[in-house]
Amino acid sequence: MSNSLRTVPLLFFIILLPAAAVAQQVYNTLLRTNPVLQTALIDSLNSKAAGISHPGKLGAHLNDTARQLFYKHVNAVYGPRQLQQLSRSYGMFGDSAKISSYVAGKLRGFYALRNEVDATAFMKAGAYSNRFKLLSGSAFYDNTPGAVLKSGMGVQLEDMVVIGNIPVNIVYNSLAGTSPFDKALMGQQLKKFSFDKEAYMQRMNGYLDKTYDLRKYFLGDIDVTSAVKSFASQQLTDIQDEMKAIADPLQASAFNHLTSPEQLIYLDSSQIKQLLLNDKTLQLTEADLKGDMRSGMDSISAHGKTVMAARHYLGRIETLKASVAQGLQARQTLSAQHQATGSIQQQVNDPETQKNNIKELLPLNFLQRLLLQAKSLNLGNIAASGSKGGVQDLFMSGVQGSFLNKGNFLMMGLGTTRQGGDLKDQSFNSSLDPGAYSMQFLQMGKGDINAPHSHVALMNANTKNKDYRQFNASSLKRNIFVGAFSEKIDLGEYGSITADISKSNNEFNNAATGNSAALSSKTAAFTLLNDFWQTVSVGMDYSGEWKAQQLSQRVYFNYSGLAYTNPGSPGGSRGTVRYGLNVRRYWNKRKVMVGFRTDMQDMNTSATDASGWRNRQYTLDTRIKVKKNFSLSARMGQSTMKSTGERLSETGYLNRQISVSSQLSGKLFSLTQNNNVSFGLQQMDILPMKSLLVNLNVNHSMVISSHVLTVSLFYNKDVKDQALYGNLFTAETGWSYQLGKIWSCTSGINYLDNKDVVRQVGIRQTVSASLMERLQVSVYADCRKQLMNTPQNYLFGNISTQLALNYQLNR
Amino acid sequence: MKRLTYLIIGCLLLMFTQAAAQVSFVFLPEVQGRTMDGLFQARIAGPASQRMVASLRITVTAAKEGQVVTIKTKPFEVKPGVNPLPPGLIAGAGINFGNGKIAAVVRQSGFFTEGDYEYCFELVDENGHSGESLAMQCFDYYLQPFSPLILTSPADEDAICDKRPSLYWQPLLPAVPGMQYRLILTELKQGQAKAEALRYNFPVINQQYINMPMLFFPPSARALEEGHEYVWQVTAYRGDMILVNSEMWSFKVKCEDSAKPVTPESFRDIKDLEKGNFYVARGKVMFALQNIYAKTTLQYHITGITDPKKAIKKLPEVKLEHGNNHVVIDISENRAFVDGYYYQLTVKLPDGEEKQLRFLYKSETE
Repeated sequence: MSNSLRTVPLLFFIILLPAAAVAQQVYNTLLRTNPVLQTALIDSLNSKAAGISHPGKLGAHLNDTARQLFYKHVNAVYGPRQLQQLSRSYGMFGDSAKISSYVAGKLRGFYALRNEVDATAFMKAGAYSNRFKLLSGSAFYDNTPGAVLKSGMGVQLEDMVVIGNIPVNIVYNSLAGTSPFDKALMGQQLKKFSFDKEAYMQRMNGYLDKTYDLRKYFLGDIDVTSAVKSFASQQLTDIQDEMKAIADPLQASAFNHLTSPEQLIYLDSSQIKQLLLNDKTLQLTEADLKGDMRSGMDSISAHGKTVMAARHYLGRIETLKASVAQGLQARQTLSAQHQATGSIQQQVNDPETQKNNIKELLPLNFLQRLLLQAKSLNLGNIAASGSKGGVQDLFMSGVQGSFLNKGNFLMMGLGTTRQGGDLKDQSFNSSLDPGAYSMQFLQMGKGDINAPHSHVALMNANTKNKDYRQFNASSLKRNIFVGAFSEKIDLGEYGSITADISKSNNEFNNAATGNSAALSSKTAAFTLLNDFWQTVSVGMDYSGEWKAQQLSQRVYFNYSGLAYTNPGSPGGSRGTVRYGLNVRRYWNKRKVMVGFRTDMQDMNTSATDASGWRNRQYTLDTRIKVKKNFSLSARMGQSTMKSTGERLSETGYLNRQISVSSQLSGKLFSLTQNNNVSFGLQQMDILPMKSLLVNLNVNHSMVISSHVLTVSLFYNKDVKDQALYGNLFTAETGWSYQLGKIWSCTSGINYLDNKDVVRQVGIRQTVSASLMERLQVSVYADCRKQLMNTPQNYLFGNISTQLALNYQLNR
Repeated sequence: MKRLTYLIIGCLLLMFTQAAAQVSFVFLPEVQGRTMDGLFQARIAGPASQRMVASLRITVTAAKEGQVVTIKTKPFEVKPGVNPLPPGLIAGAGINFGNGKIAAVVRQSGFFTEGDYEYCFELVDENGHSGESLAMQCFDYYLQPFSPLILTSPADEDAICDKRPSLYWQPLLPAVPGMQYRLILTELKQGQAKAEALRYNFPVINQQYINMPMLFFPPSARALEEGHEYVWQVTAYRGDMILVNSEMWSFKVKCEDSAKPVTPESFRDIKDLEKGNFYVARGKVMFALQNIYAKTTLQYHITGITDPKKAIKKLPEVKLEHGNNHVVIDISENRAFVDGYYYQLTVKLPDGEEKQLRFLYKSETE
């Protein structure tokens, strides 16, 4: 009963703190307050150090050799300052049976050492290395008239370098190409350096494992029962020694044979007292052990001496009994702890515990410690993303890092972004939005970004007037500041809700308003609350799953003011109200699925009236798995874009679509066959064009011994004959085969007819091979003869080739 | 639609009013009149011979509220012929906003909202007769801001079966003459962000001059690969100017019904299976069997252990080849089998020996 009562505060601890920290706390407290565990651990250290087992005393000490080794260990792993603190704490420990939690933690680490070699040596040996990971090259030529690039070649090199035990992945990427109109070669180089957290943890855990036996660190190897027994017998011997000093030899031997260690464990104190009273040599009465000694007893008489000895004996036994009970309780606490945080093996594998162990047991410098909290750290040409309302889907040259420590999240970054100037955008020289920004951003708060959280995000941006290759990014100078708050709430099995509010403010440089000659502030952050409703954006998103009903759903709502501007989130919209619903339900062991999705987007375009765009999208999806190898699906959808307002009110775009498709696989003529067919009707009105498109797509494949034959047909016709590219027919065949053991190939014949625009017939060949295990080669060629060609053709080239080489190093 | 056409024609006619004699301006309000930055893309057709130093004053007024914004540049040299504004001129410009609602939005976003505008370009003499107007030209235009550019299909984060999918989006409205689309589609490699994939990888498709809001998968391009993920984005542009970028959407090529290959390790000899404990059959019973005789049909039957009364019929026919056979008895479509029930399979081997295999049936779920 008392045992379970004592574990209550410990369990309370476990609930309050993160599991890993609790584990450390619990083990330290146990070791700190439990003489049995302490003795067992110190005894083991002493015997390891000196080769001799010293009999344990209550609050036993490390012998000199062991202590020297302990100090040396602390000095090596934690440095001289920590050693000073330790020796101070340790001095105090000399006087009392209790050691500080600090000493207990270090002592556990020392106890868990596999051998005398410290981690320092291993960490020094592995501190620097370099490993090439991948080298890949590719080249292509494609004479499609409307392609942005006609030819190109690229190289990518991936490497991992380790500096001071910090692994960094390096990607170097170089692409070059020519446009269809110009023979000059244009190039772009991108670089990315990213801290490899996974490799870092693996590395540190490796050092941990080499140096320490973590089972010992979690006190998992102490056999508490036998430790209690040996503790009891050692203590009994001590008591017997004391008895020799205060009682005569005959009586001393009577005391000696009174209790065994087992009895000490299983008998309660009144039973032990009974043993004392029953001893014939000692001749004690119950009254002797009770009451005031001096009143009725002569302390010099022989019996008086016996009584005194007996009282001393009982007192000592009772203290010992309490320690034994505590020791036995340790067993319960340890197993309760292991139940609460999983077995030791689970703990060793838990990332949070690993982080803690690395911090506690390895000699780390400031940066290494900091990186334990890092989630990511990237530098170079990188993508950056945070929560909605802050920074999202951004590509920039700069640096970004995110950190998580004890549930506190921090993400920060800075860099420059631009709208064009990349090889992929070779044909563009300017943009409607400001072409480039330099940007600084920050997001911080409670909780990890993908978990329930409350975060504040800030973003500051300035336009940059610069040319990036052919792209001219000049714009009026301005400063934009965005402040955002985002909150994610977990609704348990019902899903989660994310809510965000974001406010932007823009200040042009050199600008004044009205007749006032005073220029307005250049710093947008100071006037963040200007034009509140025009520049605020709020959003709410609920997504969840209702398992019992096999239903999943998502509802969202978004409002953004007409002048809301966030360059950190290029996908963001302005002046819009967006809302939508997405539900999906399954029946009959997921064999039947019905999904419905609707997205509404109302975009206001006028500051003075309600003119704008009304966009509506509806989609209904069904899938039925008729048999294991046969399924049918259908999709119906409609989307419209209407302009509303005083001057213009009409439907600018209408798309109605219905499509049915089937998937069938099985054996026919003892050959495995796969068949996909889809048929669709599509009404597409883009004023003034009104098209009605019929779509048919058939794919059939057949396995013939180890070869695969595929036949594909695609047919699209505009019944109303209005769309230029609406009358396309293509037929393709492919035969896959193996050449020798290495080469796998596919050869095929193609036919294409785009009514009145182009007609082609040609061959296609792909070859791929793994050479020398590490080198993969892949070649693709599609060559066609133009049976007919017109100037309207911008889509269909007649030569397209590709070569790709991949060399994986040291994998 | 006819109304829209008339409107555009009307606006074009209105553009060429009030031109001063010597110097004129080339300005396309349907594109350049949408933003404050766009105003600086106007070009000056200077006098035939003489050079002069002047500053440019651009005034935008809305029919509903008067002055929206006035921008005045620093002095620069006006050269003969048609020239763009000197680079760097935009950076030092002074701006004065009006007091109306439109001006407030323009001050915050740099974008003009819907309305009837007059854009006036004026060259002010900065040489000698300071402040004298050298030339002035105004353009009228009814501006309707662009609709959002929304991708439609394949839906974001969808899984599709087609390895040559057609791609659809919604058109950018209003239709500006000369506006076209560019579509880029690139593989999204593991661990890559969408924005990185678009720049680090060579695209599968990077097609411009698209007039319709759709693109058939280019027939000569290499087909998409099963299990791979792709990212795509559409850009609406006019000439060499990016008007609007769509969001980046991703999809995965994953044919849900493509049969999973059965690895040879899944087949254990029936003799071993017989000795072992209950075998768990997930939709099918699989074992290996050695046939030293000629081709034949496997003789077997299954009886229920949990429910012995239920007759089990319509079992598939299994053919045996000479040598080692990997036998698959597919029972997932057979209604006699109940999830969690025990069954016994009795096989009569070609040599006449009978083998029994007890198994637990588990229905296959996705």
